[in-house]
Amino acid sequence: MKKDKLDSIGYIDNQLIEKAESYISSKKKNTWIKWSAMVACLCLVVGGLFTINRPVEAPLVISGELPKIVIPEYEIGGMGFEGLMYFSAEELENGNPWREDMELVTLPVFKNGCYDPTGAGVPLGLSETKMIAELESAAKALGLEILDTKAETDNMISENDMIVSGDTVYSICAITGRGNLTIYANGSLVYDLPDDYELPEGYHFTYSNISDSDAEAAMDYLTETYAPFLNYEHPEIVLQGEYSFSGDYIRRYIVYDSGTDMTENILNYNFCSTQFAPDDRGNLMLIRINNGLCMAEKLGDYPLISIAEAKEKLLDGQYQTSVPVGMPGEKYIAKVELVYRSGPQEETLLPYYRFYVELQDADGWQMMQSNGLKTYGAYYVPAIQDDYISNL
Amino acid sequence: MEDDKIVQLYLNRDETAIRQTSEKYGSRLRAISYRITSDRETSEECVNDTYLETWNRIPPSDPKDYFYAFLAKITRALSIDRCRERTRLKRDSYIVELTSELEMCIPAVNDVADDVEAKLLGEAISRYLYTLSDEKQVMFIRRYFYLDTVSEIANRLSISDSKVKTTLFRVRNELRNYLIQEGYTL
Repeated sequence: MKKDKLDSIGYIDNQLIEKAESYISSKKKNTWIKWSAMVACLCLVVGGLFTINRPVEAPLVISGELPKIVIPEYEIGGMGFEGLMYFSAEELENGNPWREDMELVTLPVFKNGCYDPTGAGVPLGLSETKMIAELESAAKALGLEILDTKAETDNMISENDMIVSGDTVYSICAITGRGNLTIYANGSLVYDLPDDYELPEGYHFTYSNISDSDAEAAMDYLTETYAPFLNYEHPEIVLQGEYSFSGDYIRRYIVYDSGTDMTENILNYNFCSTQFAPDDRGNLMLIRINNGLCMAEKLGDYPLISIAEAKEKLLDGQYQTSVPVGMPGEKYIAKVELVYRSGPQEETLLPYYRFYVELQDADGWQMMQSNGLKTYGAYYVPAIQDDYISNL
Repeated sequence: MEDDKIVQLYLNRDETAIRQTSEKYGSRLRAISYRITSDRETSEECVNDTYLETWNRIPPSDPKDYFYAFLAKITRALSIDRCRERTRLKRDSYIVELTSELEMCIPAVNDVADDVEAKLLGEAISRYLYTLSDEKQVMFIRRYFYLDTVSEIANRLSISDSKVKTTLFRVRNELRNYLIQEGYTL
């Protein structure tokens, strides 16, 4: 496309762009929240914390009638399409606690209070007061002293379609002497460790080129060391990953609370896990706790369809997918599992059967790599019965 | 979360990077795109495309020290392109208005080697902007990078609309002289 004078401005220096974004006239009142000003009201809320790593206790549906639900559109926010690469279907293991032989008749469905209708992925949900309480609790669990805080507020589109600075806080970052802690309004909590943090010898970890035993040792150490922060009674570690185009196995370091029953186990795996991320020296760079049910409102326990019924729907074309090529056929189905999709783009949180299908080269897409890697595309079929779906 | 760590997640091909980016900068990127397109659906598309473009560019790009500017440039370029492609957005007149304001102070870019020339020109404009006060820098960049209206700039800087217009007029004239001295033909 032809360049014009406005495009030239797109090449101006990065520092100037960043300065113009954050610049606030000295004549304007500073709107950053200062921790010291908040201390007085903290005492009231700290004692009443909800537990960040647990699904919320949602109100029961009193009426026998379950409301019909709308299946959200499937958008994966800029990630191309959902395809995983493995050399064989046997490697399609991701730590999902759901098993085909589980005797599940119903599973809960939730309205997602963190849904962002704009699609930008802006964290929404928790009030400022709850976010501050979470930060306080997390800092205490980590033995950190909060020295200062910085809050970010959302930009809003006003009724007359103008961009205005909103007063809804969507994140608060606590500056501590040993790294930063950030809470987002969707309940996610990130501990950003200091650059000089060193793991003890024998516990360094990396995304690739690490043995199963070394990865397990590192993860056991991290889970134990950060147990007060995680607050999991039954920590379950997940170390599986996927392959990159070059054939490197990229491992993930995840832990969640397996809970006390099947439903809690499934919900915690899907919504309330913690990820540890290494830096390029093999030290711990950050810990991210997801709390995808922090603002969820339970709509009820919905009857499930069987895997056979779901497969029938898949073959009948009743599925959602981001895969750009057609479903190649029954013989290419490699695996099925039950999952919940989570995130700000999901207005309703419900279970799906996710089918992994070995994709074939088509429409200019190369799904089989020259090094032998195959691409398994994800196809979703809602796991609840049709009677309860309003947009079939 | 600090920008260098988000970029490190991209470099490590960790998909958490996308979530971290949207949580930290989704609101600001949406505002940039909406200012340009004035259309909710299009701005949503542009922001999502920004995440994909970022995922595709890092690596080899490694914008640890300027991650927000890196994102903002992508969102801005995608949004301006969408306005040009989609006349239904009816943003032509606004884009034309801003382009015409720059008409007298910025040379046309050669079509053939436009990326290189545009980059060199961008560097020259930056050198000039660094000679200005913070307030003038912000005024110019808010107007011509973020495409703010005069009223939005006046509100941000707590000054009158007329002061913004007058200052921008002077800055454009000075920029013109600066670029002529740098060897550009206007």
